[in-house]
Amino acid sequence: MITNKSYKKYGKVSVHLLLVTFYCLVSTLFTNCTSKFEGWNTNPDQATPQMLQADGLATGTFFVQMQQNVFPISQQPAFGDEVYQMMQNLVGDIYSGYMGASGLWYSNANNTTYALIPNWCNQAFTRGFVGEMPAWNTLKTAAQTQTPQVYALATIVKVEAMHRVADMYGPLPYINFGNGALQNTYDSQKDIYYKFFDELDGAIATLTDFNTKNPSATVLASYDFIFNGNVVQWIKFANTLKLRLAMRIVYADAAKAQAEAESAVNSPIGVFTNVSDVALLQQTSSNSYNHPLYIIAYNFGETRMGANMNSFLGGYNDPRVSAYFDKSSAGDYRGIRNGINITQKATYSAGPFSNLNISASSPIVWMGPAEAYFLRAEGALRGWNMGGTAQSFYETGIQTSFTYWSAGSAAAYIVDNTSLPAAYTDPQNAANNVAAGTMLSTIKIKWDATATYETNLERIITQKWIAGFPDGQEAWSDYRRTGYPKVFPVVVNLSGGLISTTTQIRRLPFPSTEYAGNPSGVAQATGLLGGSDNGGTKLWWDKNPNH
Amino acid sequence: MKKKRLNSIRGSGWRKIFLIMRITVLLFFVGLMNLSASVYSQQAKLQVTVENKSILEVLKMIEDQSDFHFLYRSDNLQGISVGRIDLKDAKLEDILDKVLVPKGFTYEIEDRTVVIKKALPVKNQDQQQPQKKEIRGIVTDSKGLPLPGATVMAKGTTLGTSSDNDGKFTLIVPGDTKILTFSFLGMMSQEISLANQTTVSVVMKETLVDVGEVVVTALGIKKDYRSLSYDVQQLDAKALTTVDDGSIVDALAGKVAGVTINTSSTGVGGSARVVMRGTKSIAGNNNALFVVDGIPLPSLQSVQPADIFQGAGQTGDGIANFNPEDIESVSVLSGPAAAALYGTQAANGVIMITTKKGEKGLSVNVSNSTTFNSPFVLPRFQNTYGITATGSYYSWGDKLASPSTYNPKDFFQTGFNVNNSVSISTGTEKNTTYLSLGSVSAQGIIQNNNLDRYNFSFRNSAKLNDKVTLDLSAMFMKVQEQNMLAQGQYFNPLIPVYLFPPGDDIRKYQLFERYDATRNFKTQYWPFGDLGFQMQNPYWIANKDNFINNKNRFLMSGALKFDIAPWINITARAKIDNNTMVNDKDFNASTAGLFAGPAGAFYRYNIGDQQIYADAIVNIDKNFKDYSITANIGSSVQDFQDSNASIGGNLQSVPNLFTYANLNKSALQQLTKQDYHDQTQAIFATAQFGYKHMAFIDLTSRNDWVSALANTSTKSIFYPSVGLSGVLTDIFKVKSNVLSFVKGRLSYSEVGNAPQRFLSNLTYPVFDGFPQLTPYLPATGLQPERTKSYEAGLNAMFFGSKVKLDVTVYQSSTYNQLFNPTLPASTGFSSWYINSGRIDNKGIEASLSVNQKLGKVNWNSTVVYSLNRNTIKSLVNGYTNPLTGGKISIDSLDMGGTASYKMMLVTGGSMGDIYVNALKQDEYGNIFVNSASQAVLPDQNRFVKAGNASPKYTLGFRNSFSFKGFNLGVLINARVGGVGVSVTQAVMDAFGVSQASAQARDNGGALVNGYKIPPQPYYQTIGGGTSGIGAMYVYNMTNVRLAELSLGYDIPVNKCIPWIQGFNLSLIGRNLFMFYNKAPFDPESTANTGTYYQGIDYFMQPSLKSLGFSVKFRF
Repeated sequence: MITNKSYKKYGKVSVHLLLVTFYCLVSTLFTNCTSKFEGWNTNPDQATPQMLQADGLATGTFFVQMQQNVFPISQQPAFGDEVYQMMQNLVGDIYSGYMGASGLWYSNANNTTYALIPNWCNQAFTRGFVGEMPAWNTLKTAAQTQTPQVYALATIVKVEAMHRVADMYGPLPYINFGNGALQNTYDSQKDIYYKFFDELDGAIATLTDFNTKNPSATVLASYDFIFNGNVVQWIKFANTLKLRLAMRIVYADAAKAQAEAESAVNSPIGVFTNVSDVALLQQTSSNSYNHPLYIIAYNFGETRMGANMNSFLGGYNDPRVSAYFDKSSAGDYRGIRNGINITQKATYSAGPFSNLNISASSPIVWMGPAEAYFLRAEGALRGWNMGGTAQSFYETGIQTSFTYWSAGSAAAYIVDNTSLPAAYTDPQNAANNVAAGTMLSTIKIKWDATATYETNLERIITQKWIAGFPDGQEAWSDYRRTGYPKVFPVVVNLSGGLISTTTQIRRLPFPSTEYAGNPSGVAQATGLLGGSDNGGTKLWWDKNPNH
Repeated sequence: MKKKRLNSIRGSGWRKIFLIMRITVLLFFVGLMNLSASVYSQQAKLQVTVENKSILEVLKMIEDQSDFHFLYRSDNLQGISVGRIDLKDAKLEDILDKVLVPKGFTYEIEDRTVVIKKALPVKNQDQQQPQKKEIRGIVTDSKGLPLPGATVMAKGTTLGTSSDNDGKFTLIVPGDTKILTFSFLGMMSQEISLANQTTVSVVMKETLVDVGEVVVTALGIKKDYRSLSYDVQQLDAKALTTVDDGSIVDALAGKVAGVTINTSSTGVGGSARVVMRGTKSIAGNNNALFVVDGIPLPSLQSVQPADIFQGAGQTGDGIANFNPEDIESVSVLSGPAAAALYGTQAANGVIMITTKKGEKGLSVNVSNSTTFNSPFVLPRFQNTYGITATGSYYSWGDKLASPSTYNPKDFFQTGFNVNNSVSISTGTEKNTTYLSLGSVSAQGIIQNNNLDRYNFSFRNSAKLNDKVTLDLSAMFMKVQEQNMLAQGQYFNPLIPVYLFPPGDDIRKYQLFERYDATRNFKTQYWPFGDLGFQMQNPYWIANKDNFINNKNRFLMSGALKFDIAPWINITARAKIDNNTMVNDKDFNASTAGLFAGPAGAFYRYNIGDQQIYADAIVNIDKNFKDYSITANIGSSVQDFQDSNASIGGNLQSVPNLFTYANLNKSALQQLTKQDYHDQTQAIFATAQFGYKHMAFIDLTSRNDWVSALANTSTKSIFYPSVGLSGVLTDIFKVKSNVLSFVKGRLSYSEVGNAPQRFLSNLTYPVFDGFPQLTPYLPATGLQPERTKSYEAGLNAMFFGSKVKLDVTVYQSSTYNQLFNPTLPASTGFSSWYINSGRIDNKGIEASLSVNQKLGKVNWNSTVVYSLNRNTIKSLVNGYTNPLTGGKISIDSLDMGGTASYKMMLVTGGSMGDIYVNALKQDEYGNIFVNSASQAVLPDQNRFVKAGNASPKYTLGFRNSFSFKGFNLGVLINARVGGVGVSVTQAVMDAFGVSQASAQARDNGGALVNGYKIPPQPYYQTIGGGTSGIGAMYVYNMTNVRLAELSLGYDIPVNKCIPWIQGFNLSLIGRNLFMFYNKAPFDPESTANTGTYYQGIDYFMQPSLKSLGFSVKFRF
C-alpha cells in the first residue's frame, strides 16, 4: 500500500519529470523550431547529391547503372530477374530457339503461344527508357565537356543497350530523349540506326584521340566492369558493335551497311579478333550478381534447353553442348519446343529436359569474340572488304567459339560434311515432335565454296547462332533478318491471326504505358512503323525478300 | 393447483443460496424460452385483513392465495408482528410496502419469487415504529405555473406521490427523511433537503439535454453536447464489448453513421479499413485517425497486398493491439470540423478512445469471452465431375459414378478466440488506480494460423493537492501472429484446396511430406507443380511455410493538470509509444524454388517505431451572467521515428536451420534499411462563446510546422474552422412534450494534409553498393492537400429523450491532391509527383434512436444511416510542366490491380471505380461467338467500367431488449450498392470445380446470348489466365446480415453472495447469417485496408462466422 509519505514523494518526482518534458517541449518550439526539418526530410538511407561529388561517383555510379541495365540485373525500376525473364527469356531466348519455356503462365496463353502479355511487352522499353537513358543523360551533363572520354564510354553502352530495345519495337523516342517533355515523339528505326552510327563514330573518335594522348591511361576503371577502363578494348567493342549494326540493316540500306561495316573493320584499332576480346559484365567483388538465367532456370524452374539447340547440337555432335547444358534426368540432352500446349508446369519443369549449364556467378556476355568473325564472314560473302575470305572467317569463328567455351580443337568439326540437324522428339507429347522435312534444316557444317550464296549464308548464321548462345535477343534479330537458322514454328498460335506461324513473330507491340500516357506518340510511331502495332509487323531493317 | 410450501427451506442460509442458484438457472432458461414472461405480480390480486399477526403469517396468507413464494432468513422475521391491515384486491407491492417496509425490510420481486432482506443501513431492531411526518408543498415551473403530475419521492425509499392539478402534493414520510426528490418529464430532477420544515415549494427547470450530455471531443476536451457545432457520436464500452472479437474497430461497424468499416480478410487480430465520409486523398492515407485519451496514435499500418501475388504474412495495425476491455467510451468525430484540432492527420476523421480510470472503492472485473469461428461465405463447388486426365488438376472429366465426398469446407478447422480479462479499480477521493490484464488466444480457421496477445494496462490518477492532478498510465502489449493470410497466390493454401479436383482423393496429399531417401529427411509431396498459381501442397503451405510476427509495444504517458483558478487550468501531457516488431519468414526445405533454395529460406524484418507526443494547453471555462466562454490554447509536438531493417535469402547448407549464419551469402535478398523521422509542431487555439446556454459560436485554428514540408515553398499549414449552433427549442421557447429539444448547427473547416516525406529533397537510392537515379520525376513545388468542408446538422429529441434524431449533411472538397501517376517510360521516368485535382464528397449521416418501455421490457432501438457520394472533379487539368513550361492534362489514372480488374480514377467518376476487361462483342453488342468453333474470345485491351466498390448507402439497425436482468441485443447491418469482382470464381470455373461449371455441363452447355455453347472452352476462356475475364465475374455487393446477436443474463447472485456485485452470462454471435448476399464472398471483407484494391476477391480468406459465450464477473 502506498503510504501518504511515499505517495507524495512519488508525486514530486513525476511533477519534476513532467516539468522537464514541458521545458523541452517549449524549448523545441520556440528556440530552434524547425531547423532540423530539412535533415529529417532527407532520406537517411540514400545518397545526397553532395555525397556523389566524392570519388567520381557523379559519373561513375551512373555508368554502373547503365552497365547493369543492358541486361537487367539492377533492382530498379523493378526486380531484375523477373524483368530479364519478361524482356529477354520469354522473348528472344525462346523466339530464337535457344531455350524452351517450362513454365505455365496465363493458362498457357502468353508470349510463348503468341498471346502477347502487355506487361511483359512493356519491360524492355521501361528498362531502356527509365533504367538506361536517364543515367546516360545525367552522366552527359557531368561529363560531356569535362571528361569527354567518360561520355564516350557511356555513349557506347547506350547504343549497346538501346539497339536491343529498338530491335524489339522499331521506332523509339530516342533521339530527343531527355528534353523534359512528357509526351515525346518517336523516331523511325532508320533515323535511330543512323544516330547509332553517329554516336559510335563520335565515341570512337574521342577515345582514339584520348588514347593517342594518354597511351596507358584508363577511363573510369573502378566503375567499368566490362573492360576495367581499357580504352583500346572499348574502341574494339565499339567497332564490332558498329559492324553488328551495319549487318543488321543490310537488307534495308545495303550501301550504308557496307560503308559502316568496312569503316569498322578497317579502322586502325579494328574489331574483336582474340578469344580474350569479349564484352561481358564481370563478376567482381564490387559487382557481384546472380545471372538471371540461373535464377529463371533453377529458382523459377521456368526455362530449359530449346528444341532447336537440341536438334543442332545433337545432330552436329557439337562438343559445346556440355558447356551450354546439363544432361536431362533421362541421361540425354533434351530440349523443349516453344509454343506448345502445356497444362501443368511440372510436365516440362520437372520433366526429362536439359537445364542450362549456368551458375549464379556466370557473367552476362554482351558480345562474344566469335561474332566479329561471323559478321566478317557474311560481309565477305557479300563481297565487302572485310580483310579476308568468308571461309576463313567462318572457320576462325567456329574455332574461336570452341576455344572460348573450352571445347578443344574444332578442326574435325569444321570439316564434318555429313552431320545434319537431328529430328526432335518431345518425350512428354509427340504432337511436338519435328521429323525430317520442311521444318528441319539440312545445312551441314563444312564450308562449301560451290554452294549457293543463300546456303552459305545459312551456314554462317547457323554457326553464328550456335556460338552466340545464350543471347537470344541477338539471335532472334538474326533470325528475323536472314531466316536462319530454321527455328521450329509454334504448335499453338493464340495470336488471333496477327502473327503468322510460318514467318513467326517479328516484333513486340508498343508498351501499354505509352498508350496510356503518350497516345499521340504511339499513333505517330505506328505510322513510322508502316504497319499495325502488333507482333506480326516487320521492322524497318526486316526486309529480306527470302523470308 | 397444489401450492408448494416454502417452509421447508427455512434453515441455514446456505441451503437457501443453493436454491436461489437453482432458481436462477431455472429463470435463465425460462427467460430463454420466453422473454416477455408474464408480469404476474402486476396481475395477482390479493386480500389481506389481519390485526396483530406476525409477518410470517401474513406471508403465508399470501402464498396460499397466489403463486408467490418468499425467500428470507427466518430468524430475521421471527416474532415481528404487524398492526391492522385491511387490503382488498391489492397488489403484492402494496401489501409488502405496508407490512415489511415500516419494519426495516426491503424486498425484490423476481417473477413469482420474492426475496426479503433487511434494509441497509441496519436499523435498530428495538426501535419501534419510526416517527412519521407529513410534508406538503407545491410544484411549479419556471414561470410560476403549477405543474400537475410531478413525481415526489422520499429519497432512498419507495414512498412517493404525484402533484395534483394545482401542483400540490401531500406525502407522509418517515421522520428521519432528509431529502425529497422531484421529477417531471422534460424537467431536470431536483433534490430538496428537508430540515425541520413541513412545507416545500419547488420550481422545476426544463431539462437541458438528456443523459450523456458531456461528450469527449478533440484533444480529449469534454464538451457539452448541446454546444457542439459538429457531429460527435459517442458509444459506451458496453455497445462495443458485448460481442467481443478482440478488436475495437470491428465492433464499431453498423453503430456509427458516416463510417465505412471493412474488416481485413486476415481473420482474428487483423487490421480494419475505417473510412469516414468517403475517401478524400488519391495518394495519401484515407483511414481515420485513432486517438487514445486525447493523444493521437501512430497507425502502424503495414504494406497492404495490392496485386495477385501478395497477401500471406500480414500483420494487424496499431489499434488491433488494444484490449477492448480497457475502453470506457468511444467518440467518433466523422467530420474534419470536429477533428480540426488534430491538424494534418485529421482530415479523415477521428476515433477518440477514452480508457478506463480507477474509481473510488474497490471493484474487480473478470471476464471471459470465447467464440468459435467457421467460414462465413464460401463459393459454391461441384462434386459430380471427375478429373480431365490422370495426374491433371482440372475437373473437366466424365461424370463421376457417385458424387465425390470432397468438400473444400473440410479443409477449414473450427477457429476459436478466447479473450480473458481481469481489471481492478481501486482508489480514494484523491487517488485512483486502474490495473488490467488481458489475453487473447486465437486459432484461425486455417491450420497453424494463430494469434496470441497479452495486454497489461496501468493507470493512476492522483490529486497531489488542491490544485494539482497527476495522471500516469502505462500499457504493454505483446502480440504474436502466425500465418495471417489475406489473399493472393503466394503461400495461399486456399488455391489448391478450392481448385482440388473432386475426382481425386485429398487424403493422398494430407500426408504433405514424405521421406526422401537421397536427402534423408521428409520433403514436400506435391506432384502437380505450381499450375501457374504458385500452388504447393496446401497442408505444406499451412504447416511448413511460416510467417511469424512478434510485437512488443509500450506506451507510457503522464498528464499534469494545474488549477490556477476555478475557471482556468493548465495541462501538460507527454506520451511515448514504442513499438518493436520482428517478422520472420521460415520456409522449410523443399518449398517451391521460387521461394526457397534446396535447404529452405529465411527472412527477418526488424521494425521499430517510436512516437513521442507532448502538449501543453491552457483551458478556460468562464461564465458572465448570460455569456459563457470556453477556450483552449496550446502547443504540441509530435515526433515519429521509424527504422526498418531486413535481411534474408535462401539457406546455404543445413536444411531448416533458420539463422543468419546459414544464409547463402552470395544470394542475400531483402537487404534493406529504411529509416525516417517526422515531426509536427503545432500551436492551436479553440474558443467557444455561448449565450444563455442556447446559442454558441465555435472557432478553432491551428498552425502546423511539418518536417515533410521542409525544402518546399510552403512553410506551414494553417487550419481554421468556424461553427454555429443553437438550441432552437430554447431560442424560440418551444414548450412541448413532443418536441423536447432541437439543436441546429452549421460549420465550416479547412484541414491540410502534408505531402509524403523525402520527395522534395533529391537523393539517390543505393542498390548493390551503387547509387542510382530515382525512377520518379523530381518533385518541386509540393503543396499540402487541403480539404474544405461544410456540414449542417440537426439534433432533435421527442417525448423527453425517448426519441432522438441526429442528422448531418456534409460536403467536402479536397484540393491539391498529391499524386504519383505513372508516366510513359519515354519520359525517362516511371512516375511523378504533382499537386493537382479535386475530389468531392457529399453525403448524409443520420441516426434515429428510440428508448421505450414495452411493458416491463426496456427497448432501445437505433437505426444508423450513412450515404456518401464521391466525385472526381478533376485530376490534372492544365498543370504546368515545371521542366518545359508546357501544359499537361490527365483525365484518367490507373491505380493498378490484376490482369482483369483495375481501379481507375477518371474525371467525372468516383474513387473506387472498378474497370474490368471483357469479352469480344459483335456489332450488336452481344458476346461474340465464333460460329465455327463456338468459342468466345477475350478482348485483351478493352476495359469497361463495372461500377464502384463503395456502397451507395449503409444501414445499421441495432436493438436491445432488457427485462429483469435479461438482455437481448440484435444488430443487423445492411449495405446497398457497390460491385466487386471475384477472381476466385473465375479460376474455379476454369478448373471446372465451380458449381456453375457443373450446372452448365448438366444442362448441356453454357448459356451465351441465349444459346448453349460447349462449357469447357467457354469457362476456360472467361476464367482463364491468372484472373479471367473480369466482366464475367462482377457481383453486386449489396448484403444484409445478422451482424451481432447477444443474449445475456445478469444473474442476481449478489442476493446471496453480496461480494459478487455482478455476474453476466451471455451467448454471443457475429456474422451469423446473411439475409441477402449474391456475391461468392463476404463483401465487407477486404484484403487491403488502404485506399485501392477494393472489391476484389483473389482467393481471400473467408470472413468469420462466430458463435460463443461470454462470462463477466464484477466484485
